[in-house]
Amino acid sequence: MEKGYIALILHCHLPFVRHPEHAEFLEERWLFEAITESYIPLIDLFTRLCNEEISYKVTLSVTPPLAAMLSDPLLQSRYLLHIEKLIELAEKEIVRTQKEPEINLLAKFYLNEFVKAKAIFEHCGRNLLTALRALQDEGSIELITCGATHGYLPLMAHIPNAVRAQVTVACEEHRRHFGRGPSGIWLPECGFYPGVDRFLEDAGLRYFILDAHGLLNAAPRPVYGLHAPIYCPSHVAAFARDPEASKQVWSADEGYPGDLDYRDFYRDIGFELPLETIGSYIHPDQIRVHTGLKYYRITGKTEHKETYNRSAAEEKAKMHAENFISNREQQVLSLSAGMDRKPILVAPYDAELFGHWWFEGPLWIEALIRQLAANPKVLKLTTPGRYLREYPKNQVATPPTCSWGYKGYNEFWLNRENDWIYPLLHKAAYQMIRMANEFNQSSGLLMRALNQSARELLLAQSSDWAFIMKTGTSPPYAVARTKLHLERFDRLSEEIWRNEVNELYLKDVEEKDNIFPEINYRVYAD
Amino acid sequence: MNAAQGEVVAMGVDPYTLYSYWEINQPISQDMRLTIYNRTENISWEIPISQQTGSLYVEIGDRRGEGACDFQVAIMPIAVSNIISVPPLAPSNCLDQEWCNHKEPYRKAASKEYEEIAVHDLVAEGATCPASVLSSFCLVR
Repeated sequence: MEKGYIALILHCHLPFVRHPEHAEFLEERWLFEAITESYIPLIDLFTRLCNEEISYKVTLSVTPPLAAMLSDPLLQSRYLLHIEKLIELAEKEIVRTQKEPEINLLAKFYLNEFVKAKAIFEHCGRNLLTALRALQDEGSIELITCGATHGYLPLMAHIPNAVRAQVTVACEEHRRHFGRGPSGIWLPECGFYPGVDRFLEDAGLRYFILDAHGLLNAAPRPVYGLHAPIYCPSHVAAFARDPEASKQVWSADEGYPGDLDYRDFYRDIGFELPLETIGSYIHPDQIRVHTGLKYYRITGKTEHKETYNRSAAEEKAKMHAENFISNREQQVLSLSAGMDRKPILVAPYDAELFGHWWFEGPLWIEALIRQLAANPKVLKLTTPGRYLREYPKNQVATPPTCSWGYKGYNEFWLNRENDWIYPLLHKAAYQMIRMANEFNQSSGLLMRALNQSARELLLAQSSDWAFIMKTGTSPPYAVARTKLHLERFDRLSEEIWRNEVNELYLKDVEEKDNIFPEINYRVYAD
Repeated sequence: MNAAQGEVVAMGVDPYTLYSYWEINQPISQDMRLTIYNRTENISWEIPISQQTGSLYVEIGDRRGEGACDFQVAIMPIAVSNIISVPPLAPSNCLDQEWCNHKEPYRKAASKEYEEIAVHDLVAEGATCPASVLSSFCLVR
């Protein structure tokens, strides 16, 4: 019998990026890269483990924007073109690198990976959500939701209807995609404030995840610290991230992904080959991008890089899984001696860390699951939902405002680079509430305009735009997206109040921002 | 007070800072002040504001206690903001008698020292959500 549990939680999220008005759009590659490098490898490993009847329990939060993109026919067909071009590129690389045996072997490896990705994608009917739903129905994966557009809830706390809309629309979308309501929610950026749990309770959600300090600083003081959930006053449970488990994977200095044998993320042929060779496989405007074909290992901190050795990296991933388990087992043995219940270690990560950023991440997860299944004497995988079924009685406490962002609070989403967005977002939210109250009985064109207004507001609220403005990695796009959705919202609301909805304009924005096809704007009403 | 005269909004940044923005539908006089209320400790102070600014970051870390506090700001007599819950500076001293009576309370995690170390580590080392994953998708040249 196990002494304690570990809950592996993978947060799958990308902002909604879909541009039918352009034949090819740079930022749509975010999704395509994540599909090839993270989502398909994860689905592949989870499915293989099920087929081998290896017992495991993993939680995946699939955000509504990601679910919308994965199930969108336009993006699906564009992904197919993307992966076919990668296959073509890998085939050319096999010819180009014939005289470099080690590199040539890697080109062949990539060709195999891309062909496999395409086969899995087509096997799912181009919709990866069908594979996730099957894993959920089989019982190995617990699927949870997130904010409708990953809106950062603590910074809209004073507009309760806006918070409720983020939560309610998310749950309805989850039900539509996966056939059942979510048991839990990944609060966007783990952003909590006292009182948000009321909206989770109303939506039928049973739990969410906090960063460690959020639970440790709850009042009254949680007697089990980080290693058991608490109930908020609403009776929705809060689980806390275990800092030790996080650090071993996240930390830039001490984390596994920085191991010298692992693949180097930055050395990509998209940046290295001459334009006459790579030009057809990067952005049409000759903007260099990651292709996914990377031939070197991290090697060290200098520019000198040695050729990537896949076998050595595979072995290292297994060793790191063993090390991770050993450390968690020691933690559990130490904790369980002082607790009158089995402790739970919550290990949440961004899913895109695995495969996209840390190429060997999926291998590490697979090794982790196999090793835990083979030896479950101390540690066993579980999900928060299962833990609550085993331990339904928990201490009641109120966590403070917190997040998992830099310094643990709201600073990353509220600072001098992005604070200008909030008066505009708040004004739009109040406007949406007024319209939902005023036009509660609408139908036809007016109803469509109101629903589209709700979509535009939700899209403008995505925490990703504020995040990117702060990181500085693609701020013009983040600024443009925020302004674009607010402009569309403003135009629609002006037309609604004037009772002069322009159907041509409405149809255009409905086609472009087609997220949440079944949204009901009345979710904003008092 | 008349809502049509304007509005003022308060947002928490961290335990030490709040952010406020306002929209006043009348000229701001030279002696206009932003009043900051710590409602939990019943303290208030004022900061001069100008028409041009429209927003301000306010330091609020100098508090008597370490617990969570409710804050509110106002531009009197025009507008009063929403109330925000500012996080505590340290773990709660409030103990739950029902749960402390359990057979063997979770001593290690419940000790203040452990909690402070844990919180300190998180903040100091930034062992939180790395910017790298989403940012890594944005890398172009």
